[in-house]
Amino acid sequence: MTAEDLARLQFALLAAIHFLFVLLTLGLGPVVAILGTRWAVTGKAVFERATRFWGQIYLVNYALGIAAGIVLELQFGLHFPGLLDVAGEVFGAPLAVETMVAFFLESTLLGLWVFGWHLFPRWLHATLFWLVVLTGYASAFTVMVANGFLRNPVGFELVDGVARITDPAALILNPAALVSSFHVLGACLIAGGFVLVGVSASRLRRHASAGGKVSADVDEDVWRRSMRAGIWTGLIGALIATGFGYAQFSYLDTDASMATYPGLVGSGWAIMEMFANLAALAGWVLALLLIRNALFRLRPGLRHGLYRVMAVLVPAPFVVAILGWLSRELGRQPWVVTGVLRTSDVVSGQPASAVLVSLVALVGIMATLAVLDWWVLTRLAARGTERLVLGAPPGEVLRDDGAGADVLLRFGVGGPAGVSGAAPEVAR
Amino acid sequence: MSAPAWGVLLTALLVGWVVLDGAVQGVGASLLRPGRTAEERRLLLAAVGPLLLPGEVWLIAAAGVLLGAFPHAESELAAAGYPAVVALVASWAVRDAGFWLRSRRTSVAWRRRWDRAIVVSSTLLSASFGALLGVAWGNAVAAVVLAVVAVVLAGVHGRAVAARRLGMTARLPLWLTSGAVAAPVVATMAVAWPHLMDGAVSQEALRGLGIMILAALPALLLAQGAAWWMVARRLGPKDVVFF
Repeated sequence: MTAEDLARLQFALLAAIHFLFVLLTLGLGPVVAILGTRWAVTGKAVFERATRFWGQIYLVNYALGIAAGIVLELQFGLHFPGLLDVAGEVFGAPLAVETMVAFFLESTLLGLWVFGWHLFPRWLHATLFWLVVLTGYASAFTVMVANGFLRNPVGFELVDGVARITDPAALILNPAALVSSFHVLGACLIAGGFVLVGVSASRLRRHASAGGKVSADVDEDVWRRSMRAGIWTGLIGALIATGFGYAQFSYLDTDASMATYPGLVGSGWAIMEMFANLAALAGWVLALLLIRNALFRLRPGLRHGLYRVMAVLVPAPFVVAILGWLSRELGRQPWVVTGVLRTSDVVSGQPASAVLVSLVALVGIMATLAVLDWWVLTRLAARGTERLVLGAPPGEVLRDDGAGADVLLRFGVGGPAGVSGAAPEVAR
Repeated sequence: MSAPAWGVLLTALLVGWVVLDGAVQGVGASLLRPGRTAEERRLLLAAVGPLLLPGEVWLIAAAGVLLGAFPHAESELAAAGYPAVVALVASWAVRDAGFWLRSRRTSVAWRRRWDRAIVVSSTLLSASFGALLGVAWGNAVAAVVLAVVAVVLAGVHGRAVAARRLGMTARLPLWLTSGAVAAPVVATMAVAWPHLMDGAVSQEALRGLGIMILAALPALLLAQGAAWWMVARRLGPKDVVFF
């Protein structure tokens, strides 16, 4: 393999890892915001538990998303310096806005949400998360503006071989940025929906309530509400992804997209189409079953079989989204900026051996961290709403951790571990 | 905003990162110092925890300024300091994963392994950033010296921040350690200044980007100010122990 192949492979693998985390961040965000708002408004325990559970899943997923994003941001300078030399001004501008405004705010606000849990009034706390979602979406959009320019370069002119912005509005309203952003948003909501539904299904399987009657247990209520939220999120996502998916053909050149990798791009499109249609169909059926809680009152055998299928299908939207992203990026080759700049002309002068070492190191580390993160996420999901750390009083967390009496006293907790009644968050 | 104004912004962002994230690195690197109990480790992580998210964004933003305003400087720095950049991003990713995942399981072995990972990656993160500053000076000796200096200063600074949050007496005041971690950054920017100004993008592009940044500045400062207020307080019952 040449240094160019290795640099492209490294970018593709790191971007794929990053994208897997982004899907859940953007898909789960609005649901956590709504749950948090309902908790702030109603004060009901079920919303508090749901906010803390899904907030914790959101955070542990987000953590690796940032790490993978950082690794990705520096790939341009490391391996594709020619892109910055020629198109740095156009391509760099949206990425600069992303890092300096959107992501900067998103991360800072998320920090306030997590660590200001007991400091801010409820309404402000709920508002903070809405701002996290808003800035997160803005961040994704600016990245799509940069990516859209590569796919469908508009609003610029070449002066002495360097691209200069001539029309910022055209750059931002580029259909390759705008239409495709909505398509990706749809994909994110589908992924969020599948995770909500899958996790809720596997939790509900553990609840013994017989068919015919819906139990009033708070914990079970958390999972029923999460299931509802997931079905709606996934259905809305499927409709958005499909609608804006087809709309992309307004600017995509089908023949050119198929030119370099016909098999991969073609099957990617076919699989996405099939998956989105099936997801929308399943979403409609499940939404109908939500009427009068019919879904939760199905015959136990049927219900548990359905729950099992839901839990198993969680990875599906992530696999399809990766295929979609591959189709988009491979469809652009051999160009890095369509019709302007070839990928082979922008790679760095690093020897293949150096690129291989960084590929093994960075991809090895990121893949290992990603797998550990997903494992922790599955364990957190399996623990349910028991011993949630997010939003717990610090004394309680430290007591569970086995901290001494003097420390606990400082955090307003008296008595040794396990005496003053177990943590209030005990499921069933 | 003109090219020099962007240069000042870049300096400010880098200083912000070494002051905020430097404390997290310093505490992370000291986690397994002999005599520390499991309880003390958890409290140390809790003390600097709220700095992680609002701190690391400063270096990401600095990279954004390089990309958007000085793309040539970014590609030159990456070419000359290739191993340092790879080490920086790799250690950064491991450090972050360590903070977020370490306390998610109660197993002693799990936490012990992550503690080791946090120590190694925090040290390497400070060192590789210092080395990258040295690369901007243009010689290998500066890279080695600044790498060592960065590790030592981050350790001292981390201890000062932790002491303040945990209500212990600090050996050195916080303003002094903050100034100390910032000094190598400011010196490097002064040395690299003429070269940096050469590689700026066009005036119009700088102005356009500048308007966006200035428009967002009040929100950025408000959010950061709230985060600092949170960390300036003594760790107590109203805080969150997540890490």
